[in-house]
Amino acid sequence: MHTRSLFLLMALFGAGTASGQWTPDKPGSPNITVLSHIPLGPRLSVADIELEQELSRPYAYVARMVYGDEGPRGTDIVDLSDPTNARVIYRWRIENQDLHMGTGGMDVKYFKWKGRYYVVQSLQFRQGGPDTDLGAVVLDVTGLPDPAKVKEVARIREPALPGGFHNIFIYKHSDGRVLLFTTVSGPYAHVYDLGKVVEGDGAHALAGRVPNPNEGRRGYHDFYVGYHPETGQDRFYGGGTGGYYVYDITDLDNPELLVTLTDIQGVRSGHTFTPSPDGRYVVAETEYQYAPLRIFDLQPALDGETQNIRRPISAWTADWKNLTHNHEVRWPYVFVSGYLDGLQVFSLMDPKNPVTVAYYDTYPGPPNEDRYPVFNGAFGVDVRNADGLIVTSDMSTGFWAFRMEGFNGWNGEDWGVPDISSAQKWDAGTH
Amino acid sequence: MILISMPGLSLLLALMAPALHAAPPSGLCVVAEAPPEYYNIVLVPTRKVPGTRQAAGVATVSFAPSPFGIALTPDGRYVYDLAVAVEKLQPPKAGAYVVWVSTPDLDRVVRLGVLDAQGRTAGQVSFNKYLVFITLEPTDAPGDRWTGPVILRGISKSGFMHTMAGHGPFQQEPCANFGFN
Repeated sequence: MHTRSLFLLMALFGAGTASGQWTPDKPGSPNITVLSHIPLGPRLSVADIELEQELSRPYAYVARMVYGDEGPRGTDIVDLSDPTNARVIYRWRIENQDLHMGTGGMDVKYFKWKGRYYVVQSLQFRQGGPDTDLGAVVLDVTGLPDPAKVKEVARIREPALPGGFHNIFIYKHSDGRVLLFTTVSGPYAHVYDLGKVVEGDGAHALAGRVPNPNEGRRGYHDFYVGYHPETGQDRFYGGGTGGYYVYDITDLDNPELLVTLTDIQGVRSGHTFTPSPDGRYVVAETEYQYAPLRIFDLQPALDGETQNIRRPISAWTADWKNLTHNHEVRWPYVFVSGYLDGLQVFSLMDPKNPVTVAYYDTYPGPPNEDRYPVFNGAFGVDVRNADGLIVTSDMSTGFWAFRMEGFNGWNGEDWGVPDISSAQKWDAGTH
Repeated sequence: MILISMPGLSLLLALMAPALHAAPPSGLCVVAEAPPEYYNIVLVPTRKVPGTRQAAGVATVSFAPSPFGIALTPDGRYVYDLAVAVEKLQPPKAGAYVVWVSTPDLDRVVRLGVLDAQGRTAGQVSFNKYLVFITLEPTDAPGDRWTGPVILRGISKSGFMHTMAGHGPFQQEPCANFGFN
């Protein structure tokens, strides 16, 4: 079947099964339960979200931005000690907010280093105002839930690459280092040694760069890094200029390009790009209206038959008129923050036939008229593996916590795949 | 061949406008009373302080007079007169509205003055790119930095001239929030 026809069919199929349209009596599928909802502020003022994985540390971090007319720039910390009564316990804000230009907080991730817990908030400030070189702020959140014990410990700046960090990913490398991968306004991703950052050696924290073979103005838009047990490699999966790229970064000083996904119909630039736990399949997002999530099989490239993959094996969308955004893979489930379609969950049990299994529309509003139409609604999503708690950040309606019936946690081995996801095992020595 | 984009051409024409308007038959230099758009810095309310949400302001830039044609600082920077006028601003219940000018990095700050009862003040600025903003201060006493909330803000037109670094999705945050449409 012609690829374009396949897309169309899959898109229409997805639209027919997901039906994420909000109605007062049926905002979501029956297998989704809302545990908490916290409106956080003005329309279009909420960005990404991160959830700590340890049950003893029930905290979510929500990035705050100004994409609409107003809002704060920083991070909200949500206490989920009682998931049915979530509450904001701390708000970090950039100083002189009203004099900063640009969105502010965008992506947010946490990590653990030498027994302490930290949050990295990515920041983007435009030229014309202060802090155009500021990429991220690092907060020590070990002392939560006491908000008085939250302390800013570092700021990461890149004066030669103004514009800040759009997306970030934190990965515990097999060499033991905790690494921060960041987008920058250059044809590569920057990699920082977070141990050095929090120990006061920020001047030497830049640990490496992962190039983009296409050398666009900004190399990458988003990425995922994961261990590949079969080969013992640390693998980087990046979406950016030209498409998507997989690198072996076991030796971070010498990244080795393994697979490219370029010359894909409808893809000029990749966005979020997440592999299955075994690294065979990838879920690839693009950032424009009508784009479905594309599913690719990397096996032909991993087997050496080709280096470039350009045809997806399937696609999924909640509503072909909209756009799906970030996603978290807990094989076979893919948890999606679907902008106007809210939280969506689909299954890749058969990667060639994605099936919607749950949804909840967090955004009962219309497309934007004053911004890009589909950039509203569910922005970020995360999943706690220990118990299956799902959290979503909605650009306009705020923080949400959910349960999906029958999903009480995730361990890859239960599904016959490596126990590998975006959730890092901080206390494990090596993989 | 030199290509000038339309916005660039507009800016060039706007910058030339005073000279074009100021060419009387006598050859005397006469500056037009109403400066062109590119000499106006629109001040936009942050809408965070009651009584200021409907306010609208403008800072008007003009070359500081000089017997030598162009006024410069001792280190060679242009000196501009900056006249600030704000309308629809409720008088503060306490304190004073103070106008500040700073470099984009906020590392150098000038306290331009206190808004009078008509919502006006004036001063001079010698920065290339800069922010103009008004804060609600506890008193009208002189100070080096603001302590109160920002109620209006604007950015010099030169401040909008920058590289494309950092532009991408979610980088279309409205420039109108800073007075640039």
